Amino acid sequence: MRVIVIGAGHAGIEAACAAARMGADAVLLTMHLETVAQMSCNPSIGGIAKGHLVREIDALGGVMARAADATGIHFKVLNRSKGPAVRATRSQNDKAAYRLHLKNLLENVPRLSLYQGQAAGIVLRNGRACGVRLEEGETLDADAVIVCSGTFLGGRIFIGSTSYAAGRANEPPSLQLARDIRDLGFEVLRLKTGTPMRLHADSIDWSRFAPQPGDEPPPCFSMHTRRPVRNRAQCFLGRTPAEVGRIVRDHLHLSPLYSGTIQGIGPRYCPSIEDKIVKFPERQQHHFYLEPEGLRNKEIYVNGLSSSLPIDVQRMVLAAIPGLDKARMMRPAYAIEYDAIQPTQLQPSLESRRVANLFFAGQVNGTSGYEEAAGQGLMAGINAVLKLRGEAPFVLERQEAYIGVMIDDIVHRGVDEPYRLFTSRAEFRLQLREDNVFERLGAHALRLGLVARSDHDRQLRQLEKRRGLIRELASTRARCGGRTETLFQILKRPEMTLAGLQELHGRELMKKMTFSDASYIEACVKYEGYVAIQHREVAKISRMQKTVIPGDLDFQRVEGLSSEIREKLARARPRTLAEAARVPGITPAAINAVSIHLALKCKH
Amino acid sequence: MDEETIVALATPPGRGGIAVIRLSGALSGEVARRIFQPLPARVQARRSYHGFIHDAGRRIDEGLAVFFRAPRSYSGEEMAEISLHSNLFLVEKALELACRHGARSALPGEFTYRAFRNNKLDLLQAEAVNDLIRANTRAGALMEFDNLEGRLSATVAQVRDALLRAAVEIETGIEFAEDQHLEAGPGGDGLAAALALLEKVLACSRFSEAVSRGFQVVIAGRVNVGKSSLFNALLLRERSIVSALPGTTRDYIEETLHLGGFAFRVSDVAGIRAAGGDDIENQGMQRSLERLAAADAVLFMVDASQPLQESDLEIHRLLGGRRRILLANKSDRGRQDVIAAIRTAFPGEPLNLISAKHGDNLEAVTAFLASLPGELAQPADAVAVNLRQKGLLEKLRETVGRVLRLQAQEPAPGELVAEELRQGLRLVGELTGAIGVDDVLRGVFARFCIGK
Repeated sequence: MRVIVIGAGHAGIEAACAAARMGADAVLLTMHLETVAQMSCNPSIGGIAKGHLVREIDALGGVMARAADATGIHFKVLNRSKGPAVRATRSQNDKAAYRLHLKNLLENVPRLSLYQGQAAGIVLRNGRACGVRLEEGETLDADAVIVCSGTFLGGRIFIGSTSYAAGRANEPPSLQLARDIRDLGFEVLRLKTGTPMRLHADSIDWSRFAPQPGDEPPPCFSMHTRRPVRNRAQCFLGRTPAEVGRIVRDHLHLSPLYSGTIQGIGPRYCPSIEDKIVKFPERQQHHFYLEPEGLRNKEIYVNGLSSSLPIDVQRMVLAAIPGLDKARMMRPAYAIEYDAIQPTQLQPSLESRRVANLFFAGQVNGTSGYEEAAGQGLMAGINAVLKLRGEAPFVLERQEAYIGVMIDDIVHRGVDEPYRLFTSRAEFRLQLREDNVFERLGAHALRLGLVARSDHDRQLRQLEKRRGLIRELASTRARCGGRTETLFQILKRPEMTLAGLQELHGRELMKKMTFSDASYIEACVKYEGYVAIQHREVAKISRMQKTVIPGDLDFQRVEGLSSEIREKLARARPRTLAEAARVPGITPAAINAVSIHLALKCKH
Repeated sequence: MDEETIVALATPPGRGGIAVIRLSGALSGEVARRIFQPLPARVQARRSYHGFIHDAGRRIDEGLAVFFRAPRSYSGEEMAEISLHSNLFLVEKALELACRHGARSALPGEFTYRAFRNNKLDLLQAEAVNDLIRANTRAGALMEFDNLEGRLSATVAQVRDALLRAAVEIETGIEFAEDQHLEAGPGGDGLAAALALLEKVLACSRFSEAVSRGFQVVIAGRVNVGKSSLFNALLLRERSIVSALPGTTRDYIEETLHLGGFAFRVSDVAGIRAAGGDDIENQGMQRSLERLAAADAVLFMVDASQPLQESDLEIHRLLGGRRRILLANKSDRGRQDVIAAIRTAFPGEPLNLISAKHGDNLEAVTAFLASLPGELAQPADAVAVNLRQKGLLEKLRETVGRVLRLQAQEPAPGELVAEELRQGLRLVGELTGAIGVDDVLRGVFARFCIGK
């Protein structure tokens, strides 16, 4: 059983590791061994919804969380003051350390071979992927192939009026494979993204910026991380003056985004500085962060100033920002356009509908972000092995995991801009938390052989401890604010925190309580009523999930649907009523009509 | 368009001089042409043609035909309307002919259903048409027309906007916490206004319900006080069995009375009296009490010819603060001492002396009824709301209320506020069609400068 993974970025690494862990021989193909696990854009991992993903990947035996902890230099919990469901961990990482850490890890994974070579095409036999042709002239045999090509397929970089073919700055794109994928008949989208300039740390006047220290004690991602992580660097917050707006506006015609040279669609949530200035002309200033790219590295990433303006204009922008006016640019900002496949061509297992045993994961599926890529890579790796074993695919439900939300979104709804995960995309946000990944995914991980039994048992004991404390809270009474109630009831009060409860109780509630333990307990108490309602909703959805819509159903024949809705359903090809209900623009009335149609069909 | 062509009578059966039959579907024009002649080779839309309804060359009736082209028709499909004389036999015959020539009888509401399906009406408008078909009073019809013009839709749209705006702000604060400058304000103003709007619509809905189903009016009084006589006098026909034996009216009888364009469903309930009597009578009394509880107004009757009894007082207590008129019946045999005692027993309630049997001073009763709609609500404020909509609006009101309470907490639990807002948007979605996360995200990117 041999699985070839094309591309050793965040998706490819998880895919190859998962496949190898599940017993396959995995070949991880990369154009350049030096850039394995390259963080192409920002030097950070996690964040809101993304931190959730990293924890899920960790619970399913992935490597991203461990690598982020091992190479992190600044850790923070975002939304710390908000409720447990929306708290998320984020780290700043030493990019070089991250690369080396993972390369070394990959070199030591049994059954995994790192191999340098450039994929030129997929070898097919009877409509099935069975190998990869390399530009070097070699052909590698495989039982399944996973494409994790990132921004390399037909990649093209834009800086001002200059453009050149590249997969990343000064790295060659993958042109033959891009052509091959089009030739296989896949619908290809042209997407765009960008990255800001990097500056030399010693040329920045740091006194002009507000330091953003990490949290103490610093939070970490992985259940495997025993040694406490440390904050070893700071980020800084800055603002662009109004002058920047004038410079950008004066040179807008030189930006390929506005001159019409770039056709690809960029992400709305990660706009270039020119986008921000055009869309929000009334804003006098725009914020940006200065983030170190590593400890033994002077490069500083300017988060918030991505651009495709000519290099001299980029310099003018920097010169106008107090504190950056003498900054030496080490790498300019650029925009990149690349091929992605429309992910509606994939099954929920991430296997393509068109070619059997050919899987796609990561940015090539129209998503954006290291964490999104890693989550898909992991699932593709697992599913490639399950497919070869003849077993049912591993598909996470939307109520189980953000990974499930993401894959369900892209394969059923498709993308029209680079897709990023947001917590608001999850219907059951209160249940998809960083603090309960084990409860949600632990059993899957054990069943699939993704985690060791000993790790699983350790997590199980931790969960038992948490549950024990909750039982204790429900049975211990105390007097607070003139009323005697159980500690559980007292904690339910809006102003009450676990720390406050501990004080009231007068003794330690739980030995070595971690931030994650506290979040878990708080969530169980404060969300109690909401979770009960959501459980009923989940039950309703699972009923709808059991109502299978036959693949050959002709929506034209369903009475009571508008032609617009018919077209949408025909395009989305939902497999169940639950999937149909999530197709955008579908009304409850339309779902009723489909369900009546299916019931009538059943009767005849 | 493989859709079947449907036909139905579009006007109320058996009333008025003209009946209109309506065809909708691809074959409408063809079916009409087969049963209506003469017509030019190419008919123009929205023009009326004079001609005759034929059955195999035999003229059946004279009338007019009008054609509509898809999608510029009520249902959005090809349509034809033929008007003929309103005669049950002729209408039956014309419908039968249409069916013989390729149409089928429409199901109830099928025209509206097709209009809805072809995006000619939104869900609320479709429901309004449905109610319009059933509305049988002038004010009801006017109100339904308002709804058709999108009055309820406009109200719901305002609530939707407030919810969406609040959701956008709260979600922006959650998703882009690292963009410190984006911290969103509470955004409660729009929601408070939305809550007030919902309260208003719901307050009006009792009135609007009353308008479409008729105001419930109950005649209450002890046994043998003359309730059935009044009932009959009001309806000017013998419906209840008026008898001198106590307890004859075992159950209620309801009849609709039309006054000033409003419908009043007047019921003559079983006499209420102290325990005793047979089982059937007790059951009837139980139902009387239930009707009393649901009444919009009560005609409370006492007997001017006999001293007040304990049961009169007991019934009066049951009325509580209910809107009512005090009637002393049998004025022809009225006793001054009794009338004085009645005034003392029910101070502050104007006494109206009537004789149901002789029809004396019944104007007092009709004037009271006619004043009801005006007192219950100003019709101009009313928005027609059906039961399904009312249920959803009530849930929506509760949800918005919870959002405001959560926002007032210190600190406000953002993710729970967001949860309630989503529930609100789901409810609005059930009224107007789904609202998804994409709508929220679009708002986020349109209103906030995201990206550090």
